Amino acid sequence: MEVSIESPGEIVRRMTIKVPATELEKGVDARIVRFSRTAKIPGFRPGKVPRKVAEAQFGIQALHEAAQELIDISYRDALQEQAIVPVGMPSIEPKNLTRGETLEYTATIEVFPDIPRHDIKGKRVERPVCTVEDSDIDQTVETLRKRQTTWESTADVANEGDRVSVDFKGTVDGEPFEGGQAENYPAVIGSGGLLPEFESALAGTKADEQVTVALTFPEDYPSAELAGKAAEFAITVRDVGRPVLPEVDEDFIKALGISEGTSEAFRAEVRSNLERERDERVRSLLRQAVFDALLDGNDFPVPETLIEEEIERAIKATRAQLQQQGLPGDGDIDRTRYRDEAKRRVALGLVMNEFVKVRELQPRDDEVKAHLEKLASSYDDPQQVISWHYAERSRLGQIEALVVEEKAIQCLLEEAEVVDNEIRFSEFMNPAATGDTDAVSATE
Amino acid sequence: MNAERMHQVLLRPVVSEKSTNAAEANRQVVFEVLENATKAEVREAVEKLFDVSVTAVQVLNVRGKIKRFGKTPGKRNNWKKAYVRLAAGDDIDFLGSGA
Repeated sequence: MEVSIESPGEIVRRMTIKVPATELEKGVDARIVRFSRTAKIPGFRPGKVPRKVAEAQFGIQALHEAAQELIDISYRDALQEQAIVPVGMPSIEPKNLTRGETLEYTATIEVFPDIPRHDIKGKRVERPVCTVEDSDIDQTVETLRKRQTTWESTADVANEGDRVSVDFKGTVDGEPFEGGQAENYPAVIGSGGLLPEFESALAGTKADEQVTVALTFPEDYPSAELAGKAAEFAITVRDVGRPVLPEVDEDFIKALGISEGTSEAFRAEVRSNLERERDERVRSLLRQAVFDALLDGNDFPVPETLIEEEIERAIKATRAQLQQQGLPGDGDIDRTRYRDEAKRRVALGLVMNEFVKVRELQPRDDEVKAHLEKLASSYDDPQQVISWHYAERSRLGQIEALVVEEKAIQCLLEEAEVVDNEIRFSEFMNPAATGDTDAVSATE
Repeated sequence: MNAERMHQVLLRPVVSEKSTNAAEANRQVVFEVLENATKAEVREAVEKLFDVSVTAVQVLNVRGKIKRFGKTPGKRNNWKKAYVRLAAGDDIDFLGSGA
């Protein structure tokens, strides 16, 4: 076997491999003999096919099979000999495939790139810092109360925020249409649950009043048949309800699962919940920041093979998601849309791997266990979740990978220059309101 | 013999253990031929169609086998077989490519 290597690209290697004719012939020969021993050809008793006939019938196939086998073997040997670690499968092009001649082919593979930098020493990483204020707790309590709103019937006119129960009958061009009718339908004015024209027509009505509203469905209405159509709704108001928020008393608190029922215990519970949410978010933002810092100015070629794999995975996930939403998941999906994200992920994976390797980070058993317990604690039966993960190596491997990632991020953070950034809690948890990036949704 | 007849005389080559042996041992090729074909016709057809020279032709009639399908008796057609000996150096390759 002769091997010569070229590097047409920074991370692309092309090996030209030659295998002597005798080896090829040996493989072809063995196959033909085997064929003539087993084949059934009309005119010949089984196993009595003469070599000449067998060769004529089977020669080309035998040649290809033998070549395939030789290519497999020699390719693997060549990799070992040249100490190349390939990324994914090679693309193999036979150059000379003739009986009695040297078998020659090229195998093009990608190799892992050299990672120029795999730490974030001296890089600035911003860590958001914020405390949960009393006002934040007040706000959460308010939200909880709103969730338990009850409606009190009133004879007054309906205003913004009131709930009206209506019967309505919608027609397009005088014809009723599907989904255009309902009885005793509850609608909160100003909630945006119905078309705005519809809601505004309800404002100012009283119980037992009847109104007619003409409106045009918006162009982007989900039902294509109705989008852009003019429609008329005959509405009968059955009931107008004023919102009544429950008092924060013992019953209210107990209903939320806090057995003491005291205001102090309730507020403490809210606080700890908010703080947990905040910690989660800080963690994920930090993670994101570390990743950004790792890739910042860290240029290296990313193997196409891995990018393609990653794109494939992303598309698969998208399809599964679509199907779960009950949409057809088998439509065409534009691959290029996923490319940048996929490339980033692959690059990140490579850098992280390198870091883990260089630092020799290993998941310790107790760390894995602790992580698993934390993960399992949100399930009904934590013990079952834990043993499920321990039952199979690959499942445990996933947890270990998470642990290693966490350790790596810790390690990286220790070396980075971490800058604390004070921020108000409400702004921190609601970045959309302050025009912050949607960094979190992009990572998860 | 006209050209049309020449193309009709040879029906198909016989590829079997026996015919392969005959080819190897005696340089004979075996054909199924028309039942009313003569040795002379077979010789001429083989020589012209395959561009070889023939030294000898033997023919024989093969009796069709009697095959039953349940109660119904049936008989395969009789056919004529011709062994054609080629001159040294000539060969006909029925097997197609390869060897």
